[in-house]
Amino acid sequence: MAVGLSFARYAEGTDPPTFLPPVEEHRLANGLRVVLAPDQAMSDISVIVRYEAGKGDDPNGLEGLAHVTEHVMFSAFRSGAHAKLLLQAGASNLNAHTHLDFTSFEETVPPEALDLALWLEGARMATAGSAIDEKAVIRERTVAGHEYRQRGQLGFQALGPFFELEWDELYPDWHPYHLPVDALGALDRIRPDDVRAFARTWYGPDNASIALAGHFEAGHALSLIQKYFGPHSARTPPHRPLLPRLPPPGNLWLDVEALVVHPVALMAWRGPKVYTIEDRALTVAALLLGRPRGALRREFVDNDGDALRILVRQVSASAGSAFVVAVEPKAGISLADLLPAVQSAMAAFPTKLKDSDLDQVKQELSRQQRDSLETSMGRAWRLADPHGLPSWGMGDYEGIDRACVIGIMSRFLAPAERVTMVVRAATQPLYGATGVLLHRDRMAQ
Amino acid sequence: MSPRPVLVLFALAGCASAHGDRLVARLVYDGNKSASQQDGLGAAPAVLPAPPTMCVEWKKFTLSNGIPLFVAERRGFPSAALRVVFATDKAAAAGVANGSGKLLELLAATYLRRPDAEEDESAQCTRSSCWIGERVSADEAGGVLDSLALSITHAPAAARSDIDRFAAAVALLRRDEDSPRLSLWRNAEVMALGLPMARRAVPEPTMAEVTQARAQLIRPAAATLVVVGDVFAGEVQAQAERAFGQWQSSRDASSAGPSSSESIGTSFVPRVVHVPNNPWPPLGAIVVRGPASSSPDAWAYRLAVQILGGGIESELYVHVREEMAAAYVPAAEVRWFPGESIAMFGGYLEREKVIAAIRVMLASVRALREHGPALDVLRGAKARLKAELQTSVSTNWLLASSLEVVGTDVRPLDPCEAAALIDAIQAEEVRAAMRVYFAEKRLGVVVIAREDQLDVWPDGLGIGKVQRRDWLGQDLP
Repeated sequence: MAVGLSFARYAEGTDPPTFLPPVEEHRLANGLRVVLAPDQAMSDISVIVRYEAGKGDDPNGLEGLAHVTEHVMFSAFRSGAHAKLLLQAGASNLNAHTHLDFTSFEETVPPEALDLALWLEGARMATAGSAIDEKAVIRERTVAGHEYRQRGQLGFQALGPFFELEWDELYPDWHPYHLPVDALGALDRIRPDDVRAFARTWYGPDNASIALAGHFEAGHALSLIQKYFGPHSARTPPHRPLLPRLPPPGNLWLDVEALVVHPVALMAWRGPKVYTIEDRALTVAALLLGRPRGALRREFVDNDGDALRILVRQVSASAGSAFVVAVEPKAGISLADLLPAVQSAMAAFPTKLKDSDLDQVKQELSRQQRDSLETSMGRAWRLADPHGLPSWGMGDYEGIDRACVIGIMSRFLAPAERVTMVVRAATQPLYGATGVLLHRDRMAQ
Repeated sequence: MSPRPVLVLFALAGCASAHGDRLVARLVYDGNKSASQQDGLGAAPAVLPAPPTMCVEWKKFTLSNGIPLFVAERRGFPSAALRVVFATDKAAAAGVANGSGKLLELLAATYLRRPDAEEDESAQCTRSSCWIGERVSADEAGGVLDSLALSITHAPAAARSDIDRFAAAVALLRRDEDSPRLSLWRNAEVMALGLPMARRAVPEPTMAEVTQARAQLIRPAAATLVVVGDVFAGEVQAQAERAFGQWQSSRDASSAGPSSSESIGTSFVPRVVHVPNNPWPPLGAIVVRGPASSSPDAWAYRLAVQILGGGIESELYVHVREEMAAAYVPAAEVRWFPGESIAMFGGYLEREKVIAAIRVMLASVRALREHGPALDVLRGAKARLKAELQTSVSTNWLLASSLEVVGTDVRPLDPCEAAALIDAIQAEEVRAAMRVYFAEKRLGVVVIAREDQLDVWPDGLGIGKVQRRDWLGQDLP
């Protein structure tokens, strides 16, 4: 049986909202973390198995390995006879994701199919590290390349590769988040043994969490998890190297020629670790600037300004974050004119910040959080993260006030620590599997 | 300060020499390749039959001015979703990509959307309807009905903010003309419906036309209210009556929607369209003209679409992605119009596998048309379609948006009724639907690719002469 006692997940003074169920957390003897949020008012159950390894763990020269491993492990599951049975039993949301810090596999099932869903996830963990189908690796290398080129849309243009390029510039060569510009080239070097080694190294029970939310009985679910995950031996994951102190970010200007039709510019700053007060303040700042009627949208988009689209977001991970502002100018507007204006508006923003705007944004974040908890999958996502706060997150932003936002913006979003990237259309067709970036010129400002 | 070059890094595609030494853990490479612990798991558990679909009990009311109100009470989560839906008519909907289609998009952006909401959160117009919606906590529902009524039932003043919103929406519309997916859809509509659409042929709507369209479409006779969530139907009825019940059409509003000079015809001549001036990765799709959502064939047709392009068990996923590695997410997409629908099967395709992938998709279509689905395939498709139904009503917001618009009639979805219809469909009905809607003469292909992105010329598909068209669906020499 599970080692350790079930305990209330809420610290004193942080009672969950009454419409959300109590949560149990357990740990199996092999180290698997189990989080259960049973709610008989729901009609289905979502299951997430999350392994604490992601893109930031890609070995040097094999960038993309975490992502290809996720694809291969998902594909092996999909093509098996039991996955068909699971789908015939009414499963949905079968998917998998690779982030900087973690990889997750998930599904939503009717209560009648929970047993099979847990058996399948148990089988996935059990087979991680066993022989890998070479054809699947070759195929998923190509498919991962497709995905890489299609994600991160601003309007209809895919900016994902440029967001990654910003991380590459924000974090020094030795940092796990330094995502190399030729990541697509590295995909072709990935071999079945690499995929197997990645899964063998990281997809063990003592590096994983399983979260269940929805219509089930906690004792029954725990016994099933014990049955299907308990027999797996612990495989203590290797220690990650200690990271040196980050040097101050530089002030860089990049000129990138790439697969776009309309030019865009991105400005990025290196930010704090996820779940810190600073990270939450920058999340609030991103909305204050970039939501509809936010400061930048109001000035440059809504009031017939010079930008067609502006996107502002704070992307956070365990070892740091990136605060990104993406700007797409209107036809006939030069980025050379527009960018300085946007930068000036950002610099002037703290003096214009009103408490009423801040209150609206905090309410909006609270609404978003509430809405995400309406589904079993939204709840399971919240619970699967072992580093998350001990709450459903409804009050995460309550402590953020005007002084906090201004102080954190001034600390992290300084003009002297900004990486600016201007992306313009390639002057010749881009060939080959990596046809996203043609070249970049780096300049200090 | 002007930039000062310090380093020029030339990172050509595929260059493998620029790796730094990121501080990451070493992987464990051991020699034991059969380290599976699966044996300890025991046999897979038996699968229980899928549970019955959850029903939704809709309560229907009619306000004193004739506006229908549908309410679904759902306890357990303290939120509510509200929608006001306006059914357009066929005349208004005839060309979403031509003048009237632009008009509907501009109407949503200028007058219907909340200024502080993202595009898909607050209001949208499609060929068949416009909607305005809010997602709120349950105790805010009454107040939001009042504020929605205020914004909808009063004619807008010609405010500066409206003019700015109109200008911003026009700029976005022009930029989106360059979207490859939009081009794919435009060319599909030209092929399947015969719409002679083009921005050059249809002038861009003016602000005055958008204002007129608002008056024509946003009227009580076209409206339906939907409220879902932790609310009480009786209270909602009283609040809706107070907010909307006195709303009457203004005298100058025409009863018809904005008219279009273009009508839907029949086409599929030519059946292969190639758009050559492509700056993006190649796109390719099979185009099919299907039934209206109210057609008796609609569920059999949906099952056929599900079998071919619905998710990870579909023919497209298995053959095009898993066997060919020719795409990331090849899938089917259906757009429902007032009198028919268009389905597209495909997506972004791997360079130099474009025509081979389309050939494989065509083979799947023809095999399903010829033989119908095997029983286990049909069973799987039914389960996936019902799971989609269940997902589509899994939140109050999604349930409030699960509406079917037939002419001027708006009907909310009853997943139980839909599931019963799905369960009743036999393999022969799917085959019959395939024979009608996927008949060879109403099956086309659109390819958006430069010649250097193609494996072979599209006439290698063997379904007729290739017509070159531009981004907007007009013939090229």
